[in-house]
Amino acid sequence: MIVLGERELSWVERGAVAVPAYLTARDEVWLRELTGELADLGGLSADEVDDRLAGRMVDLGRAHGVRGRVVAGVRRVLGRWWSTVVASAAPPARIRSVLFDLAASASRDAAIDAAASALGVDRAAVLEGLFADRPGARRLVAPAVVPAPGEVVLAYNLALVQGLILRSSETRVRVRSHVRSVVRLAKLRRLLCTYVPSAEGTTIALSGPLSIFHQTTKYGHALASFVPAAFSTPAWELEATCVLGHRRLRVVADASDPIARPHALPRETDSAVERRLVRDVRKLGRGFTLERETAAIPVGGGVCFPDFTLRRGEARVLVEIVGFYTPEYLASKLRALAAVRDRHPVIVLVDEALACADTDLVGATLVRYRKSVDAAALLDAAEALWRA
Amino acid sequence: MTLVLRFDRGTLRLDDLPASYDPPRAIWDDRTACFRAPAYAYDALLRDARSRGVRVDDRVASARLAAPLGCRAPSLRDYQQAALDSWCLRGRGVVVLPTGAGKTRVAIAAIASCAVPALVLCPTRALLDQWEREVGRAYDGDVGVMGDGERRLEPLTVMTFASAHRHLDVHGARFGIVVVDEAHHAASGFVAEALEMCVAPLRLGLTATAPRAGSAEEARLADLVGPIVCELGVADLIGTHLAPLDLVQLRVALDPDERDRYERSYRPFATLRAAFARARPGSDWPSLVRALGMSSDGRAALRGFQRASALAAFPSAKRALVRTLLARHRDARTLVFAASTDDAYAIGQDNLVPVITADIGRAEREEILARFSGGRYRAIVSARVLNEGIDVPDASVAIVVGSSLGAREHVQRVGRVLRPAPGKRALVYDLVTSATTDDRRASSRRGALDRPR
Repeated sequence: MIVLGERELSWVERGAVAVPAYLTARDEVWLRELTGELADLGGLSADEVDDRLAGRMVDLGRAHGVRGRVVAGVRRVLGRWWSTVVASAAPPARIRSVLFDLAASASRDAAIDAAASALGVDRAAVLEGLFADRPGARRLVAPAVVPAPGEVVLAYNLALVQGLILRSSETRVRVRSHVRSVVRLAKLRRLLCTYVPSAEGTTIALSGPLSIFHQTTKYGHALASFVPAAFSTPAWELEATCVLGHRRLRVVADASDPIARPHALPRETDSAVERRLVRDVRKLGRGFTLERETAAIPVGGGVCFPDFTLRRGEARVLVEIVGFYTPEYLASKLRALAAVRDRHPVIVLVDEALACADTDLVGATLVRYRKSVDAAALLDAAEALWRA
Repeated sequence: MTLVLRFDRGTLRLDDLPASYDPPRAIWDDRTACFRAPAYAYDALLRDARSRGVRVDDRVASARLAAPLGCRAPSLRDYQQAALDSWCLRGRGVVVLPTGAGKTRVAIAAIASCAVPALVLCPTRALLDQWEREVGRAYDGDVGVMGDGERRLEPLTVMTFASAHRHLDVHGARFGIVVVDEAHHAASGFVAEALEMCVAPLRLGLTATAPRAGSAEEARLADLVGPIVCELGVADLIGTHLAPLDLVQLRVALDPDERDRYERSYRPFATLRAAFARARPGSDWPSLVRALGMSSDGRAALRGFQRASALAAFPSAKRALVRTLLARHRDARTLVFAASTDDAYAIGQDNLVPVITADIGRAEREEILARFSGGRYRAIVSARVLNEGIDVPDASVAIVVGSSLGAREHVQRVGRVLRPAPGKRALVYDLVTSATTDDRRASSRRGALDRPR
């Protein structure tokens, strides 16, 4: 994840709103110049590249009316494509170990000659390789294909938004599909999530537990690393409260903004059991469809995300697969499903290998399975629920 | 009603609060419909609730690891014992002792006396290794390590600050005491966040350079770790518990070409700084930098200032002088401190002596220190990595080529050669470039050894 630093962030204030200063197609001219020049610097050390580019970046900014912080941000983002390597005839750490040991008891020239002989390289290579692994001495390697300016624009804009979100204490995203997967990614980052489902999608408010006291770098990073997942969904919208330049500002962005979407959309099914079940229901041809649940169902103060919705015409039943078991986990899952059951019929599929006790499963409509779910048994259970 | 207290991702969640009870440091959290407090308020909350007769179902305590069995207290010198006694009165506080005065022994004695699971936090991977070794000598069990690629949690665990920031939202309720090495780092930033996420009621900070008295940093450190409970400077222990010290300032001049380059780089900054001082008398350095950063001329002046400072920190005369001093002290163990890693590498390449920077890996660093301790290497060069903590027992000469962090850094560096040994007399060379920014920096650190803050 490349995230812009404070001195590389660029935004325009409109009242209390900070609008990210995105690069656009107009910037592609100077971006092409910059990437072209960088491509010619392959083989130089990172320090030499920085020296050569320092003045050039200022000139580019002036010539094209671009702020220095924007050019600096682009330079950082280009690090995604340009890498560095250690260029040395022998491993630098080995050269140091041999040479410094010899130099402890010999003159400088004698030590270098002896080290060259011991390492099987010439005298010049000893000195050239001595600190060749330090970051500034590593050699720049240009990518096989220089990124197109348009690609750089999108990558920069993503790094810009993430850099702004890094300074946020709370971020709200509205997503219209894949809600469950997006929430799962947020929870993996230990963020607190609250939800407001609506016809336009589900608004998820994300924040760190400490954010009610102050903004933290820990959860700023969590939010910044999370947002690409939301950006992968269609028609997303984002609003974040950020501390920028000692001021609290709202940052807004949406799917129409020119931002890269590097995050692959979550798969429709998670496991082999689920994939096989979807296929078997389709094969049976009894007029059922099994859909990955995309909408959050409100339960008390939170929401529930069952694995699937089984539909036939207007009728539907929620399907939950229990493939992981601890008594506490199962109890919490059944509590959530019981709250949903008042409004929607629910079937719980339980892997027999988990050896759940019947007493743990009181109140649920169960279909037990071993290795794979019997799709016909599931459809029978759904019909029985609808009849009831 | 019984107040239920839970640890939740670096915070405390308070449920079933009696209506009449207003818990300290906790505020209502709409997101989860409960009161919430930062984890480090645990002890204050429990004490307050109990003092008001509120019944508490403390589910935080159940997450605590077992007490470390078989942790032995080392013998302490009189001032170390006094520091420990002073800390024990409250179970919270910062001990300020010069480098080489045995802060680690005080910490291990504190851990042994408390008999609760202990967490030691330190800033670098190098210090992580050192703490693991030191604690391992006094403790029969396995020492847990989190950081530098390791993730082992034990009743006695050491962590880098970075690992603590990453993991204490999960493991913040496991420990009863937290020891913060180089505690002056803990007053802000991600280290402060890590300490907020830890419930440990007992807290001991260790440093050679406490924050300035009355500063915001001191107040924040007092909140997170505790007040300063013991403070001794280098001057208090030199000649008794620390090696006697000779401090020699050697002045050099820029050559004509360097002087010309220096003036050309420095002048625009000097002009703008003078104008700023006239417009806003009494403004501090951060205000000046902020103001200059708002215009392209100002930013260019700042870049010029940095170039001039770098030149003044390591001109050709210092380069030659370092060669002479290293040759003169070829038989002594010598530490060379540069202002920047680039200067450190240049000195290493000139004199064929090993360099320790953050870029040098753990295995190589350990090999260098082992060869230095064993006497094979006579000198090591560093910029900042050797400033703090790393135990280099036998060094007796320090060459301070340049500095970038002021008086605090100077105290830390000088402390590197003050570990006492029979017949030892420490020698510190302070190299200063006359009539430059380097000269002004040297003035600011003069006298720092007498006053710890």
